[in-house]
Amino acid sequence: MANSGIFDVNDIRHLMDNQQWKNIGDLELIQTQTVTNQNAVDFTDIKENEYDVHFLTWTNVGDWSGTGSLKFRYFVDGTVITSSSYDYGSVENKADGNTYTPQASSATSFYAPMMASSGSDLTHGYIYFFGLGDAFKYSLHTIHTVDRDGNILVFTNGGGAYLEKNVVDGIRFVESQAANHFDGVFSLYGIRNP
Amino acid sequence: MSTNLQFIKEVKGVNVSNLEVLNCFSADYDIYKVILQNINGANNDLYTRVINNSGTEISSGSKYHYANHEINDSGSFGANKNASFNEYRGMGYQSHSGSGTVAYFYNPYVSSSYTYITSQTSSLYSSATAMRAGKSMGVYKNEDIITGFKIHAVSNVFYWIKVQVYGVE
Repeated sequence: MANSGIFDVNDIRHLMDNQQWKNIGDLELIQTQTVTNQNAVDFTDIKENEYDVHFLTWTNVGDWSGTGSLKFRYFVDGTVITSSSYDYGSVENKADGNTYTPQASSATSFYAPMMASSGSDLTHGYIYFFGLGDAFKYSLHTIHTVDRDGNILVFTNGGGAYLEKNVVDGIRFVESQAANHFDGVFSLYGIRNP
Repeated sequence: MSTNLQFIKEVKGVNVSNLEVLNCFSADYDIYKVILQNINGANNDLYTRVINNSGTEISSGSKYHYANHEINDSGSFGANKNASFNEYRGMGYQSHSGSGTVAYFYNPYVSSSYTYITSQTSSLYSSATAMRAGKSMGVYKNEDIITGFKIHAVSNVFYWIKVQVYGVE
């Protein structure tokens, strides 16, 4: 766009559509990745210094092997953290009215679950991340997912914490089974800071 | 149709036992998104009360109802609920190692409606060795015009607390 120094309404709308007209609180798309037949998907440019809170969605993620589940880990200094540095707690709520099932672990090497192992069914969900770029605070997240276990709808909610005060500079989603692969769409956003 | 978040206010506190977030609700929006983060000297619940358009914090009358589900990294669950209380416990936790919460307020400024709140939270405590997540819903069961809210520590003080309020446009 030519820089005339004056913005009319159409200019502003055009800039807003292209994320070039910044407002506090904007949900700014950092990256969308559409993957097919992958074992992992990495976000390695998460702009952790720009955003205090990140928001991530995934849609239509399927594990066609039918036996795996989706987990995630963080990057620190560009390296995936596989040590026992993750805590999480979630609850599975099933539409058939059966008891709530905990999915939880302490000091483990990944966050899970995000996706029940359910063959051809698809999972969708979102995560809020807090303080990924703050070296003086622990990184936290809350998570919601929806999936099916066979013919039963499953809704999972919970959260997790990274047990080290490090700057997190990337996120990896990975299949629990090394030989398994998934499809799907992942989008990472930042909520523009005041 | 909701299209965007409109920033309204950020309020921070250091070494405080409570934090007022005043004049953040108005006739401009029906739904508000609140992001709350804190570090506290103790691990506990925190509680919230609404503030009406006279600037009065509503602390009597047993007008708060809530139900919280707590999810621990041990796999255990907890519940905290009340159908008649003078405060809303559930919009996150106070935590020694940090807590992050996203909450929504519905119709706070609508004088003919109750004010509903939902939230989800994650917190780290016990010297950063244990995690507790939470899902909560609550209602301030009175038809007032609500313009703000106040967050209180149940114990100790917030070493650091930050609240951001957005209108859902």
